[in-house]
Amino acid sequence: MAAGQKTPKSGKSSPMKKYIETLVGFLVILFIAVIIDLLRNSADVTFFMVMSVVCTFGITLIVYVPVARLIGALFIRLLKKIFKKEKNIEPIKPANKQIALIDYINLARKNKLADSDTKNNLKYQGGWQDKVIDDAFKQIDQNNDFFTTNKNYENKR
Amino acid sequence: MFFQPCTSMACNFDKVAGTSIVYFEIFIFVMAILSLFFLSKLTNRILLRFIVIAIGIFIFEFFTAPMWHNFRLGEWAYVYRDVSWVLTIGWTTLILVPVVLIDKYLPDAKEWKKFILYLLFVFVLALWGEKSVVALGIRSYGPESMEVIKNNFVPWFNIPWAAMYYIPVFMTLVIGFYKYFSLLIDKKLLMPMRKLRWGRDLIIVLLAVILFEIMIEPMVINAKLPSWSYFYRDVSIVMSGIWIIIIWLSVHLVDKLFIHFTLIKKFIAYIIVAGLVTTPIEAWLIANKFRIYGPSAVENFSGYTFPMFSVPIEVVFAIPFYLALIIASSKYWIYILENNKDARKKKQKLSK
Repeated sequence: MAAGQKTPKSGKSSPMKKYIETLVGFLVILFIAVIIDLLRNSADVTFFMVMSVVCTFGITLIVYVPVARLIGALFIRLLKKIFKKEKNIEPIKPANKQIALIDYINLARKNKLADSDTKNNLKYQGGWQDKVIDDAFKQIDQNNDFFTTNKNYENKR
Repeated sequence: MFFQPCTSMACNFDKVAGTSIVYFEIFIFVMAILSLFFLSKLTNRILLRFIVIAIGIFIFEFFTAPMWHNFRLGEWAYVYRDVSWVLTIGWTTLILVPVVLIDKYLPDAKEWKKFILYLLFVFVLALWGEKSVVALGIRSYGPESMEVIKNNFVPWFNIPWAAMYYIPVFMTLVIGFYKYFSLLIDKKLLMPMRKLRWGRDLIIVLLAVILFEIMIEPMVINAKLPSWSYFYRDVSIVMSGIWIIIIWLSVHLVDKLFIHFTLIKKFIAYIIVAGLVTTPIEAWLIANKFRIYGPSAVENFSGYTFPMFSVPIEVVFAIPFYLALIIASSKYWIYILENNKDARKKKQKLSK
């Protein structure tokens, strides 16, 4: 990979981040359960959740842990979004936006739409900035170059 | 025994099909097969399109099961209570044919014009379909629906005047559901949007929810809400407003956070997010008697409840079904407006 080229995020998070997300998720679930119980004047929901783990010797955690992690990740993201004070911070992870744009451009090319039209569509209708669009095109072209080079190398071998 | 035998009227109705009904069912099968055969010459993935519409119709039929009865179709014709797969096939064919033909022969027409044409053709066909099932003694209406219908029937057709509202709303939701997934089937080029149009999308969701709520009003009573909030019988803007805001926010949350998701992944995410919020709220509203299900709906309940919320299991299933119809049809229109070529050209001209 060329120097200075942005490395796409791998999507893998550190173990510590995973634990924190899961823990936060469990706390959120517990909080919701307690609120429901308070509203219903009972302890059914909290009791059900605790007992469903105890009585199955923890097997239900197979479901609870990923759900908790998902909820925790969303909750943390939401908190970050709320408490970020700097301006011009994009609300969505750049990687997701880039994936969306790359997918669109690839499909547009498959549909034989001219790149200039795709750019215009993204700019005037999608509301994307020139730089973001150009970055997405660059990313595709770099990937294509990388795959073409590899393919040629494989063919030569 | 895990499954309790159903003893209510919802299960014990006349299922024996007479000769005329058997002929009617054969007619449905023949029409479905012929339609599939001929439409397969006009468009690709016809079976998949058929299945998508059938799912949309089944969701609708399951959801509105307490409002009407489908009797005498034969023991083998029922899937759940009096919801029949034979009628599902019939309605599916009835929708598929005009939609595919219009899409085929008017490919460049504006989407809203095509939609009006779908509705017009499907409405005429559905009137005949409804007339046939009523005349054959298959279709009758639940007591709560009869209260709304009030013996006001269209002369000669013998179907309630209320059907003039029910049919277009039913068709709008089901066709919208199909068209959402047809974006996927046809691999349509859908643009990722940097900024979402919150106001416009709210109006679309509001229309979908209100139209559907008015239609399904006989099934449930919305009680104990401020009197000013009721705008049609017991349909309350407070209650509907809650669903509208939840659906609207859920859709936008998913669109913002998971902009890179495919249509199918997004659809699942919408249902999960909105469902996770809606289910406990519905449970609380039921527990506190803000929502009281009518006798026909209660008769349909199996007696099983969802452990955490003590909500009838049917309601827990009905929530994602309701959301699926509303969200798919709303999102379809949102996508159409977002990808409107005329608007794009206007913006381009203005910026130049």
